Amino acid sequence: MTDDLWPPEEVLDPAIPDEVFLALADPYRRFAVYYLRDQGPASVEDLATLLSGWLVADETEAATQTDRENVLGSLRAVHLPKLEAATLVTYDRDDGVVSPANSLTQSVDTLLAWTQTFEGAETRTESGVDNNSHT
Amino acid sequence: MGLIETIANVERQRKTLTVYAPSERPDLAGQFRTRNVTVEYEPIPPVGQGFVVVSDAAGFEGAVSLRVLERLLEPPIRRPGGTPPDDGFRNVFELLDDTVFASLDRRQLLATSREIEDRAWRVGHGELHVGFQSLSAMRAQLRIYRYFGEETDVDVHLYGRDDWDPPDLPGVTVHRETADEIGRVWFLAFDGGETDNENALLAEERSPDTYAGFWTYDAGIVEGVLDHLRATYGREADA
Repeated sequence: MTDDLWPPEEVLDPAIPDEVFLALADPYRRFAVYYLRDQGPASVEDLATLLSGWLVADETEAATQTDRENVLGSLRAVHLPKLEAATLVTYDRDDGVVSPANSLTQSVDTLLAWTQTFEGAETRTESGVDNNSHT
Repeated sequence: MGLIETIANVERQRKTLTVYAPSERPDLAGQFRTRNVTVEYEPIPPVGQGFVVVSDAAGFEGAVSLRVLERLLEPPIRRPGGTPPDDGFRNVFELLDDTVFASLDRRQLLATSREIEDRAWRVGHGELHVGFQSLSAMRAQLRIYRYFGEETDVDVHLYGRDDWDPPDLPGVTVHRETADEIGRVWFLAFDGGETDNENALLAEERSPDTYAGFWTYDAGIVEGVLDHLRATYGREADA
């Protein structure tokens, strides 16, 4: 398993723009990209709900309406512009819909698959969720 | 607002629990089958932890981690030991407590009633209003309410149809009523005294021994119930 910690060669591809690394340095932006790549376009409102539950709520604290408002505000002001600059998403400001980039280079694809393995995954099963990270 | 109308109002405020997880969770949907909650499912990629979003007609109310919800649902939905261990946990309870509109049987109603009485007992002051439907139903609880009168400053009001003549208890006011809602609704409402422990249980008997109702910590709802009881039955005290 330790081999997996070592980045695949494509991740070190100098052709990956700095904007991509900057964009993926933040968990809110990474998780937004994971979701959009898996499930397709989503409204910015739905992304705010999603990221509040996924990243704010934890073992002891619920995510509140205020938390969600803050996530929505920073999505609009900070996260979506950075993801756009990295051409990881497109954001239609008129209808408020965020879409995943049509095609990512193989290197960026591999980079995202690699970062995803470090996020504390729960795995898909037929009957429900197996909790790998359950302590 | 009357007791029956309050129950119907809460019932209308149906909530949606949206489960975000990599695969569907029919087990969670099953847990809420008897409650007035719609359970929906949204797929997410298998990254991080699953979570549950609580929403109502007005939109997002809050979100909790799936793990916390699973722990809460270890049967039955009930706070352990009466006191939430910390503020974070309390937030989670509050988010979910409003969703506890349920079909209830007598056993569940009794357990919840004991919980409210226990809380009033520990606070030791304030107002506790209890509706037994029929006064004869209070026989089993007579000893507890005698203690309330003797040992605490809680102002106790008991309500019911006049089918039994309870003994005089100090600090306890018995309201013998004929109103329809008194005969149909099992209720307890505690104002929390000087603390924020206000809570109420209202359950309407819709067919013999089958109740539908709710248990809430919502201060607005509890105050509304107490205002209604004082305004409607206050003057008939000590009848």
